[in-house]
Amino acid sequence: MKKQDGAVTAKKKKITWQVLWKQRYLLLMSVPFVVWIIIFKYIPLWGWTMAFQEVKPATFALPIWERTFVGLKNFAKAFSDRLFVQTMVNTLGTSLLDIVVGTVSAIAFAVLLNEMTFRRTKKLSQTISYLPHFVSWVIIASIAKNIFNDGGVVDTLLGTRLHLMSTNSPLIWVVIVIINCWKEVGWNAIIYLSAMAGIDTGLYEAAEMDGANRFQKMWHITLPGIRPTIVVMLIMSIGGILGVGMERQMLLSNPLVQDHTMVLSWFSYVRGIGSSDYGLGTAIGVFQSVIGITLLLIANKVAGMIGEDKLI
Amino acid sequence: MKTRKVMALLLTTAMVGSLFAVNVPVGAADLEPITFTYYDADGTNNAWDNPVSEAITAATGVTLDVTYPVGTSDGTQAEDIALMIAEDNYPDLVFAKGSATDLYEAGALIDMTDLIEEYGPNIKKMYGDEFEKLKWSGDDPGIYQLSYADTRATTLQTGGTCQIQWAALKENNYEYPKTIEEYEALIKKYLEAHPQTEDGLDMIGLSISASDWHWMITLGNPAGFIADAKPDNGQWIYDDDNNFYYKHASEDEKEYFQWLCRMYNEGILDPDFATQTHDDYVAKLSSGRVVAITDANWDYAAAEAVLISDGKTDKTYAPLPVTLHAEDKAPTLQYQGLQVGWGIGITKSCEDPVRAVQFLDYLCSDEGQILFNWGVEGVNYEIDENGNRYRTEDEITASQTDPDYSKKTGIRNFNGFPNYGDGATAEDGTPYTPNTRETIIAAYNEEQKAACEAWGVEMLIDIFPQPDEFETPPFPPVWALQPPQELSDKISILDEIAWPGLVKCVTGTEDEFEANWTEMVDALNANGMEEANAEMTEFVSQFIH
Repeated sequence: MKKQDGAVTAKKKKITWQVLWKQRYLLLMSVPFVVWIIIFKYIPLWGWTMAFQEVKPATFALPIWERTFVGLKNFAKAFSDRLFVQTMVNTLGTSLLDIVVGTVSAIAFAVLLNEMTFRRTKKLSQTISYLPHFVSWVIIASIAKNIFNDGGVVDTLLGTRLHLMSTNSPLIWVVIVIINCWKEVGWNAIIYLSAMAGIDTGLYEAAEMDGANRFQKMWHITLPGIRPTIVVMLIMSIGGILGVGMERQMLLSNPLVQDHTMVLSWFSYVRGIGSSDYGLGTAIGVFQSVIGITLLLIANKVAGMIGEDKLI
Repeated sequence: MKTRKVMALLLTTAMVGSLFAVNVPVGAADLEPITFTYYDADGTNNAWDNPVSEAITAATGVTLDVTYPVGTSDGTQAEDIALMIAEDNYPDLVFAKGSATDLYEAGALIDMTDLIEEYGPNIKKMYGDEFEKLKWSGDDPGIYQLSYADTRATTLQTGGTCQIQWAALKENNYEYPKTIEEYEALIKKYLEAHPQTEDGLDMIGLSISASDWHWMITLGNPAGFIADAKPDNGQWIYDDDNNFYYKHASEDEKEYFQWLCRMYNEGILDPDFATQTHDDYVAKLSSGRVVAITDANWDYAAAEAVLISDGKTDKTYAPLPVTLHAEDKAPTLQYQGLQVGWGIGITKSCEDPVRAVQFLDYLCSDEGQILFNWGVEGVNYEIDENGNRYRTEDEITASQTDPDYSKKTGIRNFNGFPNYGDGATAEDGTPYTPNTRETIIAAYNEEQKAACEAWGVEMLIDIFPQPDEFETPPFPPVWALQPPQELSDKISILDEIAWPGLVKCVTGTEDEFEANWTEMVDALNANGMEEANAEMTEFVSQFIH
């Protein structure tokens, strides 16, 4: 209902000087943030020019017009790299798993928390659950390695060898995603919890009058109530689908599973910074961003088509 | 007009002043306190706060602010150096190990030739006849780095090609293995008799550290020593015409890795070796659980120090001259000539290169060398009536059993510094380092003494093929040479394939081995191994004189 109102008013209101003057204080307040975005997000895009140049340590300090332009050579080099295809597969695989597992677990966790009657226990469990979010990957990874490595805690407890971290197959995606899920579930649940707090309590009361049990209330009121939030979160995560963080991949990897842990950001680092070929590294980064934006727009469109709130 | 005149006057004064500045006599050492930043690629928590570094500061006025690699995924310098280059911001002095090419190509290292000519008499003295070898390449005769290798060293100690606990040798009446079959038999025999340690831990037959750069030390290098019977030339082996080949594709290595694969499947090789961290590995060694290792002595020394201080000397390791084929000679004592390519250099960020070279020159001087190798007189060593330096029993024990000995005293605490090796002597005939034939023999622990007695030899190295049985190759050790960027990129791709490839060959079943091996060699071929071989041959040829 709200959505339609919004759509109608948005169409009516045209931006005129009068409107701008009326909202001058609001506009003024946004200026620092616009400036911040321009300085820290748009001006650095200038660096993308490196993707079309040959930039090695020796030429790094030169001004841009003195470096050699190589056109799309860096992109061609990246796409023909022996690791590129596998890296794409890994990035997409890990990312999709991340989104599915991450979203489902965060929602489930939020719903469960929301059902808790004792306020204190609820707050306590929530705080404990999002603490790992603030711990660095270096620490999480060494804990995780203790637990999942060959001969680690899990293997010792079960008295067998599961080869969780040493099977050169997509199994490592699952292991990494589960560790990530454990680290982030509490944090991700916060936003869903706050969405649930906004649901009209009258709805629950009415449902109770109609004889709905707890699960029916969850299914018919809580989940539909946070649907717009879920969609927005999904759209946002699809934009970042190629942006799988490199540090957790690097830290949880080992030579046996490297084939399946290499992701685009790491690949860009290895080839760019590692081999001191900054042009190539930038090209990979540009590719990652362009695909990310394209996917974001597509997801946004699809969400609009199936009748959900669009993000942009 | 007036201002112009004033300007001219000022300029003239400035120029005359600078003339005077240049004319400072060379001999007068400048002792004004100065701090240089130093990046030590092999460093582990070594701060400039020990007696030796204080004495160096007193003599030179130089204080070093030392940094070293931390927190990187594999603890190597490569990422740090890459970031330095990306930021175009360098420490004053740098020991970059294998990343020196990157610095060189980024123009970060300064040519020290003229500075050494003027301020470095002791540097020239140290490298002596081999000074010319410090030149960068055939095309660029500049000297950008000194060598960190021990100069004029006689090898008095070695880790051999592989190692086994003394306890296992003792039970075999000190009959040591010479081939891989005998090695295997010995490990198995000991394992059978002692399935557990005294503390109740399961014994492990053989362990390897392969999850970071140590794969080159415990997986890659031993393959070259044992299978190819060649000394350490990094990833390279060469034929009689000095043609170079990437070694991990050789037939001999295939046989070696097949053996490792069998060991893995029989449960002799640590089933956790592929994923364990280097710390896990060292902890296992230190507990005395691991019967045999294929490692380098500097790498397992820390574990041995723990074993000795725990009173488990029989669980320390005996160096063995094992090779794959009985007719091969274990190459560990072979002299390869002065190693160049790894060493300390001065960067363009250094504002006072003259002081930096003078500092390096002091390190190379007799005074500096004795300080760095022996420590402080009256504390770490004494001088007897004949003028010879000696260490007290307590000091010797401390140096062998205290893992923090270097850190506390400062003796050989910093890596990358120029050094005389064991056996090198000053003009007065006294040795530069405390390690001589006599002191080493005297310092043998009870296990080592018993072994020498059982073998009827004076030193442990006497059971190895002696240096004079080998010819010194015409090129310096290839592992430390710094190939140009393009070639080193190719090599890192090959390593990128070989590392997981070899681990996969070992951890697969024996039936899969053939397929895994072929897969790896095919991948190597598909990614420019032939080209890299040819370029490497070409590259090394410029060092052959």
